[in-house]
Amino acid sequence: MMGKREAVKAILEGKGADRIPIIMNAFSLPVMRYGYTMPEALMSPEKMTKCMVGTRRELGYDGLCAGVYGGIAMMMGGHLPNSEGAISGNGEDVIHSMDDIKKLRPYNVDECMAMKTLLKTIELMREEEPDEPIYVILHVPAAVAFTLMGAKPAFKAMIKNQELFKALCDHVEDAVVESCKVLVDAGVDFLWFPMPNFGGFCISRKSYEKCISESNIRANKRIKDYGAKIVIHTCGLYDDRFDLVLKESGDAWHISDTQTKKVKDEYGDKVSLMGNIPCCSVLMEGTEEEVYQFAYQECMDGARDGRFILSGDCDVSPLTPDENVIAAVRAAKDAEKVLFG
Amino acid sequence: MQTKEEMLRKLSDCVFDMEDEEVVDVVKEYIECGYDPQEGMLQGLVDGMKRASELYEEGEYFVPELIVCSDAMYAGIEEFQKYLPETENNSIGKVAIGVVEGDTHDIGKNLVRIMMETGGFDVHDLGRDVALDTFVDYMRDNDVDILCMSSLMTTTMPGMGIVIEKLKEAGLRDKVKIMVGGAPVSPAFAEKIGADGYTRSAIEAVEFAKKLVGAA
Repeated sequence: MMGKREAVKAILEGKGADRIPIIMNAFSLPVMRYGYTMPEALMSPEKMTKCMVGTRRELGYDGLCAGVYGGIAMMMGGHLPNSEGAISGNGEDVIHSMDDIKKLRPYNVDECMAMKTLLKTIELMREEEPDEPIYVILHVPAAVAFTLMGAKPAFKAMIKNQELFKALCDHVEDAVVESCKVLVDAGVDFLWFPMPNFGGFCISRKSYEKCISESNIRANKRIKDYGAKIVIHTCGLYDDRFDLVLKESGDAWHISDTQTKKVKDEYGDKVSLMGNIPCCSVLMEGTEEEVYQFAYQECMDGARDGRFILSGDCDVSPLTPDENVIAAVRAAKDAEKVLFG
Repeated sequence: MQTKEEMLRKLSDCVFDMEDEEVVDVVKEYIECGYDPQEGMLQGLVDGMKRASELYEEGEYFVPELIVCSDAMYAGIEEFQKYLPETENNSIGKVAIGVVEGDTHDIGKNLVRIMMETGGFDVHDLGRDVALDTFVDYMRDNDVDILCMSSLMTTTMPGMGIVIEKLKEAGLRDKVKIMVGGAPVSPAFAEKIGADGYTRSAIEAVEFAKKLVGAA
């Protein structure tokens, strides 16, 4: 049987593996489980490693999330006042005009404290668990632009001022690509790009095409050309725009709010899949048996060609009972035996 | 001069067609014609927002479209208010709304607020990242029919249950109906924490709220 990292690599390269990795995308769960606050864990490589490794071992799933990288908005826009006039330092809600873009600071990944912390975390995790896939959550240029503009102005710009939104995407693209390169050099197994604000719960396919697609296609290609493996998290309704996401060079889609079988039938020969146990209605609120049955069916629907990673459909809630996570792991192991002997 | 019906349609269209900059001129034009401002607000601007809501429900409009429509509506209302005498309160109920502590995602909450206002409720917006005790204090100090709380994150959603417990401890729980919402929230969660209801969307929230105050 392939090792875990080898299997994830094979899946992301479209070759298929002889096992079903169970990367539960549990980020807030380990942090809360160990009694940390989110900022506390994000600022301490030791704490982050302790809770991620500890929870993974206790619950038996695979993979380690090294953290969420928000350093770009922070470094470029953290000095600017937001729409309420406050300087929050996180770079959120600070760009509302073309002139504001000129006020952004240059990005230097080598000087970014958040990146230094992340790199240290990756190093500690690798030492602790050399065979576990490690991934980092970070944002495509459009998501960084969305943060810098703030949700309401960003959404509004998608209708009234698309040029501003696109100009900001372009402006931060190099920063995103440079950050990804550093993470690839640090040995992460994949980069995980969540796009919760660009699905059908929020914006139309038309807005996606006009404001998001082009930037994603270009940035992801640059990132992939450097050797990164990309998992695009289509967080929300993407059924009407998977054909657009297909152009964005994702090695896998971490899907949600859809049916794995349906996406597999339509796109399974073109892209690997990750997902798709509903984190709230099934993992958190379901019984152990319900979780097992759902997870088992997911594996049967998604993993026949060996190109599937079992996961929740988003971040696993800290309120999720241990036995439910363990049931999902058991289901994947049982499905693995049936599918791969 | 255009008829009142034509002007009301023009106001409605300004909101519906996301003309957030032109709407003020149309309001002025309406007023210059000598038509009733209150009628202009309700049968013009609010009507446009209701039409936008219908398209949202049908999947034709999305969050950005609704935001621009609501900006147009509020810009028009602001202009109308200059011409309105102090009037009696016609609201069908008082609502307090906020995103619980630790969570700054407020687009959903804002949509619910807009829809509630469009639906005739008097809404007090407590904002986002609201300290749990602030909800309790507000309930103590104000007459509110419905408290709406939301959370987009599983890490902060337990806060809604804590508020309900605190309201019970303060003897305030029976004074107010409680609705909860947000992406990770489900009917089962709402029931578990003792809320009176959960709705999936902003549109459903208004209908549910109307039932709670007996205005449906």
